[in-house]
Amino acid sequence: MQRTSFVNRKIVFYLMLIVIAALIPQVVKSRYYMSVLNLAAVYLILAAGLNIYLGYTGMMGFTQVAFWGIGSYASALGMINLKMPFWTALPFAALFTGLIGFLLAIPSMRRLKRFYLSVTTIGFVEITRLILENWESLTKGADGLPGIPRPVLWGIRFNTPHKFYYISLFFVIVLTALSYIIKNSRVGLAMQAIREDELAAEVIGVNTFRYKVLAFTLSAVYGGVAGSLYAHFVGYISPNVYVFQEAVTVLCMVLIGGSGYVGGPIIGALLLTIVPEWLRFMNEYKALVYGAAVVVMAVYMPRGILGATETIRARIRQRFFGEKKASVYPGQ
Amino acid sequence: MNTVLQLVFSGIAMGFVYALCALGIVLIYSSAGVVNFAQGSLVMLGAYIGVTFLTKAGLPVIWSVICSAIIMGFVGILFERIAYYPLRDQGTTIVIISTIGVSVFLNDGVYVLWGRAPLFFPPLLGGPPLELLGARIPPQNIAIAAITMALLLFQTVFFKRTWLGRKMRAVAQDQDTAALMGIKVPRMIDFTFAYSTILAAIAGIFAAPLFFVSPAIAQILSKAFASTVVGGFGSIPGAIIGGLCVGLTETFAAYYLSSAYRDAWAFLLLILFLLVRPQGIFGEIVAEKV
Repeated sequence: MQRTSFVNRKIVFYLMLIVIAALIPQVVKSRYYMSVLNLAAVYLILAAGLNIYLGYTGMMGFTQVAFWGIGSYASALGMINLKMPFWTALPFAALFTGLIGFLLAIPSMRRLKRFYLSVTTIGFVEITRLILENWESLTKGADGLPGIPRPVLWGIRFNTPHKFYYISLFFVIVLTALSYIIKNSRVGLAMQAIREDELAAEVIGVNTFRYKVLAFTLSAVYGGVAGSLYAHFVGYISPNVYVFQEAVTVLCMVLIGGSGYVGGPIIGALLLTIVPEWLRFMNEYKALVYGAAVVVMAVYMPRGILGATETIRARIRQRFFGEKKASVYPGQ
Repeated sequence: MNTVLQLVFSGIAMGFVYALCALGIVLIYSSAGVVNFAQGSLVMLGAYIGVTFLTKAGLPVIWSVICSAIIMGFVGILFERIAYYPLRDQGTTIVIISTIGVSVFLNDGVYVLWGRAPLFFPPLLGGPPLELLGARIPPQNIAIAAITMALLLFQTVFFKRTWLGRKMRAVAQDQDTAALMGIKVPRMIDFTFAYSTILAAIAGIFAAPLFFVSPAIAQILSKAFASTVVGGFGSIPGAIIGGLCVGLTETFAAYYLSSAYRDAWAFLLLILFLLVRPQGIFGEIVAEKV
C-alpha cells in the first residue's frame, strides 16, 4: 500500500516537472534565454548518452562529441542532399550514428582492458574532425554548412527558439524515459554489473561484450539525435564546433550531476549551460575551471550532486531514525 | 636527394619523441596500475618550462633541459598527490577521469602563464644539415636520437643495477609483496611519477623545435597511446619500438598518401593492431587478474 502511493507520488512529481518545463516558453520572453535552453537540451541528450556507458557501464570515452558531429552532418546533409523531411532526417542521423558507433565498438571492446576504449575514442574524435574538414565535396570543409532547413510539422515552421523548444523538450523527455527504462531493465542491470565488476559479471553469465557494445551504440544514437537537433536549431554547422573541449564539457555535466543516475545529466547539463551565462566574465578560462572541477568531483564527489544528496539523506535517516546502514551506493 | 632516407630520419626523430611520452605512460601504468591521460599535457608543460629557461632566462640548452627536468620531477609528484593518490583504491575509470581533468586544466592553464600566442623554440643544435647518402639530416634530429639512446641506456642501468631502480621494479611487479619486503610503496610510486614526468619534460623539449610551443603539443598523447598499444601495452621495449613504428608510419603515410590526414594514420595503425594483434608486438596474452 505504502509502496504504491510512493510510486504515484514519484509519477506526479515527474509529470509536474514536465508541465513546468512545457510552460517555460510562456514565461520566458527572451529569445536569447530560449536559445540557451535549446542548447542545454542538446547537451543534456549528449550527457544522457555518455551516462549510459560511463555511468551505467563504467567505461570512459570521448566519442560523444564525434557522434554529435556525425549526427549533425548526417541530418543536415540528409535534408539538403536527399531532400528528407526533418522527421526522417533525425531518425536517419540517429541510426547512421548508431551504426558507426556499433562498428567502432567491436574492435574497441574486444579486450577486457578498459582504457583501450578511451584511447581509441580519442583517435576517433580526431579522425572525425579531419574527415569533416577534408571531405570538401560533401561537407564543404572548414567553411561549414550553412542554410540547414528548419523542421516543419503540420504546417508549423519551428523557426524560433520558442517553437523549437518543444521539439527539444519532446526528445529530452523521450530519451530520458528511455534511459530510465534501460536502467531498470535486465539490460541496465547487466550494464551496472559490468560497472561494478566486469569479471564477476562475466562469471555469472553476463555477455559483457554484447552489453558493452550495446551501451556504446546507444550512446551513439543519443549523440546522433543531439547532433540532428543542434544542426536544425542553429542552422549552420562547421567542423570546429565538435572539438575535444566539448567532450570534456559533456563529461563534466555527467560527473557534476551524478553519473549513473537518470537525473544526473539533467542537473549537470542545466547547471553547466545556465550558470556560465551568469559568470560570463570567466568565459576565457572556462576550460581551466572545468578541468579543476573534474578533478575535484572525481576525488571528493565521484557520484556527483545526486550521489552526494543520496549519501546525506542516508546518513540523516541513519542518525535520526536509527535505520540500519542501508546500502548507500555500491562503490564504483 | 634521397627521399626515403630523409623520411626515415625524420620519422625516427618523431618516433623517439612519441617513445619518450609512451615510456612515461607505461612506467606509471606498471607501477601504479593507472593509465595517465595527462601525459601529453605534461609533455606540453615541459616544452613551456624549457622555452622559458632557454629564451627568457637565457640558459644554454643543456642547462635548460636539466632545470626543466628537475622542476618537472616535482610537478610529477604534485600531480600524483592530487590526481592519483586520493583515488588509489578506486576503480580505474575514476582515475582516468581525474587525469583528464588535470590535462584540461594544464592545457588551458598555460594560457594564463604564457599567453595565447604560440612560442618559438630555437633548434636544439644549430649548424648546417648533415649530408648522408644523399639525405639531409638536421643536426637536431641526430641530437634527439643520441640523447634518447643515452637516456634509455641510463634507464636500463638504473633499473637493473641500483637499489632504487630495483625497488621501483619490485613495486611494479607486485605491490603487496614489495610492501612485505619493507619497500615504501607510496614513495616508490612518487619516484615513478617523478621519473615519468621528467621523461615527459625531455619529450616536450624535443618536440618543441619540431612544432611551436602551444597546447597543440598535448595532442602527442594519442600518438603515444598508439605507440604503447602497437608495442604491447605495459612493455618498456614495446613503448620504444611502438613509438618508432608510429613515427615512421606517420611520416611515410603523410608523404606518400595524404598529409591532410597526417594525424589519422597513427590511429589507423592502432585500430589495425587492436583487430589483428591486440597484444602488440612485444605483448603476451595474459589473463586479466582477478
